[in-house]
Amino acid sequence: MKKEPKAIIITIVIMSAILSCVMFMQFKVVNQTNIEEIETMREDELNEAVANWKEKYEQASKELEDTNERIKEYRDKLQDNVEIKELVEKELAEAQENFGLTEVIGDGIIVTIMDNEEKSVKAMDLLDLVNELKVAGSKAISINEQRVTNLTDLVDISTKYIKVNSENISSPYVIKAIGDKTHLKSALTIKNGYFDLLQKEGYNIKIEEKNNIKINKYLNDVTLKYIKR
Amino acid sequence: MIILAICVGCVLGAIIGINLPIIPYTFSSYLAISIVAALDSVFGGITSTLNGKFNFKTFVSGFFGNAILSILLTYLGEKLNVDIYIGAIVVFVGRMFNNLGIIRRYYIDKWSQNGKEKVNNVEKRN
Repeated sequence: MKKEPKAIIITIVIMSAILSCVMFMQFKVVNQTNIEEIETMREDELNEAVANWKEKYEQASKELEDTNERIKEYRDKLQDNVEIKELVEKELAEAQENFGLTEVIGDGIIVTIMDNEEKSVKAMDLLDLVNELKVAGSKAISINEQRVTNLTDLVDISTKYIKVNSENISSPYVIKAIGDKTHLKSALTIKNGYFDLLQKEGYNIKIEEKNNIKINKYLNDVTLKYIKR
Repeated sequence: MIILAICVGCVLGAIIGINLPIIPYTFSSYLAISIVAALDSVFGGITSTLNGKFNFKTFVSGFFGNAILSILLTYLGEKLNVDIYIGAIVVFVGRMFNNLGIIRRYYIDKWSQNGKEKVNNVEKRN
C-alpha cells in the first residue's frame, strides 16, 4: 500500500468523523421522536396549545349553554308567577349567602390573638390571617363579630385600635372562620407558617377547632351609590 | 492506510454523535439532506478513484459544499413553501445509484477478466 501524505489522512479522518457523527445524531433524533414527541417537536407544543385553547373554548361554550338554559327556564316559568317568585327568591338567598348578607352556622376554627405589653396587633397581621384562611378554603370569616366580605376594610387607627367594616375593635381579636376544620388549622400551624411567625414576634395566639360556629351577617350598607351601569 | 483512517474517523464520530444532545425535530430534515449529500460525494469519490480521475481537493470541496448547499436549498424551500429538498434527494440518490452501478460493473469486469485469464492460462499449458 502506498504511503499517503499526512494532510490527506487527517482530512479523511475528520470527514468520516463528521459524517458518522451527523448520522448518529440523526438516528438518535429519529429514534427519540416516537418516544417523547412533545419534547422534540416544536409543532407538537403548538398542537398542545391549540388543544388547551379548544378545551377553554368548550368550557366557555358550555357555560354559555348553561346560561341560555337558565334564561329559557325563566322564560318557561314566566307564565307562572308564583313559580318565578320562588325561583328568584332562591337565587337571591344564594347570592346573599355568597356575599355575606346572611347569618351562617357551621364547623370551623376560632383564632384568638391578643396584644402584649410591648406589641400590639397590626391590621396587616389580621389581613394576612384572613388571606391565609381564604386560601385554605374558608367561605365565611368574621373578626370580633364583624363579617369579612369583599367590601370589608381593615385599617390601623392607632396602636390599640383597628378599623374593621368601619367599626373600631381592639384586643383580644377573635377571628372565626367556617370551613374544613383540620384543613384550616393545618394551614395556619404549618411549619414557619402564620402561627409560628406570630409567636416568634411575641404575640399571644391561640387556635381552637369548634363545631357550629355562628358568624354574623354583614351589617353595613351595600347599595352602590356611585357606580353607573 | 486510508481504510484505517476511515474506520478511526467513523468510530470517533459515532462516539461523539451518541453523546451529543438531541436536536429539535424541525432541524432533523436539514441534517438528513446533508447526510445524503455527503454520502453522494463519498460514492462519487469511490467511482472517480476506480476511473483513475480522483482529485482530493474536488472530493473535499464536494463533500462539504454539497452538504451546505443542500441545507441552504432546503431552508430556501421552506421559506418559499416549495419542497426543494425532494429535488435534492432525487438528484443525490440518482447519482448515488449511478455511481454504485459504475462501481459494480468495474468489479464484475475485474473478476470476469481474472476468470478469463485463468482459463487462458490453463489452455496455454495444455
